[in-house]
Amino acid sequence: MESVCSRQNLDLIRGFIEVDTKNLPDKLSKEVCERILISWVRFERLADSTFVGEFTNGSQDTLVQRFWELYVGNRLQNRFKKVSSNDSGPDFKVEHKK
Amino acid sequence: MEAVCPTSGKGVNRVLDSFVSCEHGVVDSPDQEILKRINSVIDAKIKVYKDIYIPSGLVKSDGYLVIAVNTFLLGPFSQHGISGFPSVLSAVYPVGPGTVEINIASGKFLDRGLKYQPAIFKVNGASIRTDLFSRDNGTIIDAIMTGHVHLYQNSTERKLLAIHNHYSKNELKYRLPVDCNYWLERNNAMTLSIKKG
Repeated sequence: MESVCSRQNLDLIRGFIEVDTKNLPDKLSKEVCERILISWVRFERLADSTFVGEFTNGSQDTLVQRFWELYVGNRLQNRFKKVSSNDSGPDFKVEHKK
Repeated sequence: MEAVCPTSGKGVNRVLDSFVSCEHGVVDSPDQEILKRINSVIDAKIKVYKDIYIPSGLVKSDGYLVIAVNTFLLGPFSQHGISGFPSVLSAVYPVGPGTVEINIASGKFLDRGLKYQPAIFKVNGASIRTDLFSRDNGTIIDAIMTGHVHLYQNSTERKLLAIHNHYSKNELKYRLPVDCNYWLERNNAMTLSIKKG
């Protein structure tokens, strides 16, 4: 079931980015799409339940807001081993031994 | 860690669309409006943290709080403030625009510095404190991470900065995943200066 959801989410994000970047040159559009999909795969386990819906709802404000979450989440994962996220509470929790 | 992305806002204190989309050639920077928006989202996060997250046990009261602020939706002026530092820094420390001291009689340049700016003002005259880090509520924040990030930038265009809270109740014991850090350092008994590294 999880892999079906992951596939669906990936397809939703790919479809949205392809449409949103249609005015960019073809090569650049593909590069952008690939970059975002790679970031998404790494981030997905931290995404809350509304993430994909808000990312793909067509609003540029929510698109930038959700991407910021994704970007910060991945930067944290690059630095710390234990990064988690829940629908309730702060966007991310980081456990780090002092 | 909270990730927030202030929008240009609504009402008389908003950052006008023309500044966000850069329709004009040469304009004054809407720095006051930008600071109001940044200040507002940080204040909202402090409130949620103190009123909901800590009392409900969602976070530990002795944990660290870092807020990540993306200024992209506030337009191109929001990345660097008129102080020469990131805009977010002027929302948490009382750092205003650059100043130059000149001897009026001789016209000679004497010194340069930054204006002390502990507050900005709404259109209705109400003041908003910009020394957030040193206020009671602000000491709960350990650092602010900030960037001017859009998803269609390539990775070399995206930079993350950290502004550390000199007055924080905790001292961050770990490095944040950023490209550059700003912090206050004591020069002597009376003065502090901003360091970058």
